[in-house]
Amino acid sequence: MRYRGIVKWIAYALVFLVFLLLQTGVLVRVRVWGVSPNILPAVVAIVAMLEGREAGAAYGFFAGLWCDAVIPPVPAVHAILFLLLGAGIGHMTEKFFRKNFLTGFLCALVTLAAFDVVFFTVLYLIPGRAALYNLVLVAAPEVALTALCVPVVYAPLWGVARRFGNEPTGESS
Amino acid sequence: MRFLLRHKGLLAAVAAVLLVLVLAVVSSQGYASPVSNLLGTVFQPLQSGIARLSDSVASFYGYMYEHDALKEENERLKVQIAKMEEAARLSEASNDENERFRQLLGLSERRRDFVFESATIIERDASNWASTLTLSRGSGNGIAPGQCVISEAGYLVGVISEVGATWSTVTTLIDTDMEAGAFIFRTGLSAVVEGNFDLMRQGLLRMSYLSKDVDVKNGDPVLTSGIGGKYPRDIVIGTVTDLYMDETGISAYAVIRPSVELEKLKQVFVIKSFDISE
Repeated sequence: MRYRGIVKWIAYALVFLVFLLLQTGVLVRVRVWGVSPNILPAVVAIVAMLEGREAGAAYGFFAGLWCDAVIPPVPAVHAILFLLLGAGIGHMTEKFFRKNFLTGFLCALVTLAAFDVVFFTVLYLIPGRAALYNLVLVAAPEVALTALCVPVVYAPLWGVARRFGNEPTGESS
Repeated sequence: MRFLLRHKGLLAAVAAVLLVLVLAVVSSQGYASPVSNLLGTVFQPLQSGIARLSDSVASFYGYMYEHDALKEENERLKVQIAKMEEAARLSEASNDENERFRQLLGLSERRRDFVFESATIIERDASNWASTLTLSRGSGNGIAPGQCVISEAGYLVGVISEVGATWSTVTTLIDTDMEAGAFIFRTGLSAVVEGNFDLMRQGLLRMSYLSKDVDVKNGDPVLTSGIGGKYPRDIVIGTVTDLYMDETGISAYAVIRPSVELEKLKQVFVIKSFDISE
């Protein structure tokens, strides 16, 4: 059982690295409505939904460290936000929601929207570098575009959870 | 404190947050923290491979779907070049402005004090909130934070903002963090060019702190002034496209279209050292 747990988290890490490569190498070149999709918060949200609060927070933290290393401009922001969002999503889905695609889809979009709001508010709105309407102009199309990518993100993560972990039953605790 | 010790998960989360904040402070001078440096260095070869693959796909896509548009642009540019050559011939004899334009060409011949390091772009605009490029060279090649980056044509691309062992990040000239001393080539008027969030999404930047009755025309080239010593003098930034009153109503600002085409860049040159002239 312990071996399966280790392999499961190695598989989650590899899936994240593949999506990180996809995001930074391919998706950034896809520009619709002036923005690119951002699938990395969705990866963290879906893992947090599948694995719970503490695992979601830990996964979010380490995923965020990778993002901070390869995605400019501000260090530390991804690690902190993904840790908090992973914990929050894991906690809510443990208590209130079934573990299925619809929950994962909604969690992914809520996580991305929350990430954008906090990121923009702390780094742009408060220092006066951009006006509030810019948040809507960027975040809204970004969330819409990312929604199209969520099924592609969800499938391998669900596959890892089914193959190596406790079978997601679709029931909340 | 007892609360934290009883809730080990919360203790771990607090420790993690403190750790990343420490790492962020460590990297505040422009050099990547040890963790970012390690992760970035491990990731960089993968990014380079993906970037080359993406460039190939993008080139193929461009050829297949933009062939007609490219052909039309080619014809238009041929006509434009012919007109420019004619204008140059007509005014060659006694035109001081033409002489200065000719002096802009051959940057490396004119500025022998520049020490260049070439680098390829392995990642661009990784975030929707900033305009950045990641390069394939880092501190191991003599790259340092604050160094100016130009294109092969000598146009300003941006400035090095973060450096790892084998990679570095460029904040481009349209990013909101960008600020440089500049002057209008035709009149010599000095001002500041800076990124703006609204304009960044259109691929533009602005020249601020102009007086209301400033002598600025559409098409005026804008160059770096070299004031402050951060950027070399006479690096082409772009051209003026519009003039507006700013939010205060007291001064004006000009919208600048960068001469460099950031989306098409594949290789850039980092100016590692230059002679400061003001």
